[in-house]
Amino acid sequence: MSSHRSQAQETARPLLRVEQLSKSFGGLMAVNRLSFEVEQGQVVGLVGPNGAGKTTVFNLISGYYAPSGGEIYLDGVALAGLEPFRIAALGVARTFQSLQVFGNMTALENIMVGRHLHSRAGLLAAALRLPSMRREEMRVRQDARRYLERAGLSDRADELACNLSFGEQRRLEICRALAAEPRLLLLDEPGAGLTQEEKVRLAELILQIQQDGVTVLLVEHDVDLVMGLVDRVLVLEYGELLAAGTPEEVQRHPKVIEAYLGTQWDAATLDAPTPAAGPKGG
Amino acid sequence: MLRRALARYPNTAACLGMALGLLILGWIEIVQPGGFDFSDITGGLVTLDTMVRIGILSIVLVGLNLLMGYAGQISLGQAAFYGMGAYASAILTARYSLLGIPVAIAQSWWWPWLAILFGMIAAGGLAYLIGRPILNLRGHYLAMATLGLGIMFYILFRENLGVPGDHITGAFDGITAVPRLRIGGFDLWPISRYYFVVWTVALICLTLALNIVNSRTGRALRAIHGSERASQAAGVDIAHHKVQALVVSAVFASLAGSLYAHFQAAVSPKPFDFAGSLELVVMSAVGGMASIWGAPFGVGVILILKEVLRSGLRQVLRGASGEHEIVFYGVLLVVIMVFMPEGILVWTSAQLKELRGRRAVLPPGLERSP
Repeated sequence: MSSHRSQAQETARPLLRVEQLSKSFGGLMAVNRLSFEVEQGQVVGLVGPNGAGKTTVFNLISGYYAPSGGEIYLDGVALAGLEPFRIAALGVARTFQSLQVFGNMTALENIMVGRHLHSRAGLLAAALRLPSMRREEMRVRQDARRYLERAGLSDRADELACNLSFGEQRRLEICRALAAEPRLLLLDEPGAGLTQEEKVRLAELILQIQQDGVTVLLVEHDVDLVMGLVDRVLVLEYGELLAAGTPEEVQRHPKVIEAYLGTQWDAATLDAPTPAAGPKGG
Repeated sequence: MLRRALARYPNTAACLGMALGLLILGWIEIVQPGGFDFSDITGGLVTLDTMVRIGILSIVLVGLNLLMGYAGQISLGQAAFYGMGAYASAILTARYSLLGIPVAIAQSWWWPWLAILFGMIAAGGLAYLIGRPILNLRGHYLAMATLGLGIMFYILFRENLGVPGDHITGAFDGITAVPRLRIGGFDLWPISRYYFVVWTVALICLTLALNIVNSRTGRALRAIHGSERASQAAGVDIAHHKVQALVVSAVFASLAGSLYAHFQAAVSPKPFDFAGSLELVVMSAVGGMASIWGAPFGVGVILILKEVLRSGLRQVLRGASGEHEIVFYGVLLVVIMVFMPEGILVWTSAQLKELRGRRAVLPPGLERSP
C-alpha cells in the first residue's frame, strides 16, 4: 500500500479503504473480493443493478453484517467486526433504503437522537436533572434545531415523525445522520420514491453536505441524480467491481457498455438486467 | 406568572397538582370534615388502604412503563423483582436472628431502611446480570425468558429459597411480624401516616422516571423502540440502554415490594406468582404503557374495578361467584383495550383536548393521539 502514501501527499488521502471485502449468505457471494477507496471530501456513487450487492456493502461498512473476508479501514482504523454503534462513534453515519425514522418521536427529537454521540449525560444525571445535564440538554436542543433547519423542517419541529410526508421523512433521516457530524456519510437510495421537486432539494442538500467537508458514499438508481452529484462512480455487478472512475469515464467504459447490452448509459438501461427494478422515481 | 410557569413545565405542574390532590384526599379521609367520608359514599371502595395499595403498585408500574412502554421490552416477570424487595425486607427485619444479626441492630430504626436499600441493590444487581443475555432476545422469546424468571422466583419464595425446611421464607404461609417503618422515634404508622410516606416515595419515583424519559437516555430508549437499526446508526448502544431500563424497573419494583412488606406487616408468595406479573402488565396496558403518568391511573382503575366487581356484582347478579367476577373483569378489560388501545390516560387526554379544542396542558408524550 506504499503507493497510497505518495498519493496522500499529493492529493487527498483515502478516508475509506475497502480491501478484498467478501460476504457470502449461504452459498451466495453477495460481495466478492471487493476493493475500492473513497477519498476525503468526495461524493462517490455506488451503482449497479438490483442484487449487485450495493446495500450489502453499506451494511458491511456500517457493521450490520460481519464480513466473511477482507477488511474495511476508516482513516486507518479497521472496522470489520465492530458493532454498528461503535462504527457510528468512529464517524460513519448512514440512512436506510427502507426509511428508518423514529415514528414515535417528534422531528426535533429524531435529530436530538442524532446528537447522541455528541452528548454524554448518563442515567443518574438525567434522573436527578443535574445542572450539567440541563445545560447539555439545552445545547443538544439548539444544535438539533440547526440541523432541522437544514432539513427545511423548522416549522414541523414538534410534529411526530410518522406524520411527515415521505420526502420530509427522507430529509429528516439524512439530517439526523448529519447531526452525528460524521466523517463518512452513507446514503442508501435517498432519492427513492421522491418527486422531481423533492429530488432537486435532495441534490442541493447533498451538495451542501459535501461543501461542509463530509465524504459521501451514495447508492442511487436515478442516474441523472447520481451523475450530476458525484465525483466518482463505482459500478458493481454480482458483488464485484465492474468499473470505477469519473462519471464520464465510467459511461465510456467498455465493460459497462457491454454489461448494459451495448446501449447508451441512461436511466432506462441502468436497471435493465433485472426486470423487476426497485423503487425508482422520475 | 404562575400560570405561565406551570404551562412551561407541564410535568412539574402535573406533579404538584397530583401532590395537592393526594394531600386533600388524605386529609379528608383522616379528618373527615363534617362527617364526610369517601369510604362511606363509595361503599368502602376508596379507603386509605386502597390508596396506599395504588401508591405502592404505581411505583412498580412507573418502572415497568419505562421498560415496556418506552424501551419496548416486554417483562412478564416483574413480580419477581417486586417479591425480591418484599422478601428482602421481611427476612432481614423479621428473621434477622437466622442471619446472625444482633438484636440491637435489627431493632434499630434504621435497619429496615438498610434492608430496603439492600433489596434494591440486590434486585438491580440481578437485573444487571441477567439483562444482557435476556434482552438480546426479542418479542416472544423475551416474554418467555421473563416469564421463566418470574416463575422461578415464585417457586424460590414458596420453597424456602431451595433450602430444606420453611424457616426462611415460611413457604406458603410466608413471613409475619414484619415491623413498621419509623424514622428515629417517629413511627410511620398508623395508615394515615403511611399513606403520605408511600405517596411521597411514589411521586419521587414518578419524577425520576419523567426526568429519565425527557433526557438523552429516554430518547435513546424510545429510539430503540422505534427502530433498533436506526438507533444503532446514531451511535446508541442498544444493549447498554436496555439493561439500564431493566435495572431501573427492577430497583423501583423492589422498593415497592419493601413498602408493601412493611404495609402488610407480612408477606406470602401469592402476590408474586405469574398472575401477579400478568396483572402488572394489564395495569400498564390499561393506564397507557407509553406514559409514565399512566401508571397510577392503570393501577387505580384495575384495583377499583376488581373491588367494584367483588362487592357490586353480587347485588346486581344474584348468586354471582368469584368465577363471574373473572368473566366480567375479562370483558371489561377487552372493552377498555378495544376502545382505548393507548390506555385510559392517553384516551382521556385526547378527549379533553378535543373538547377544549386547543392544546391541553399535558405532560409531553401524552399528546400522541392514535
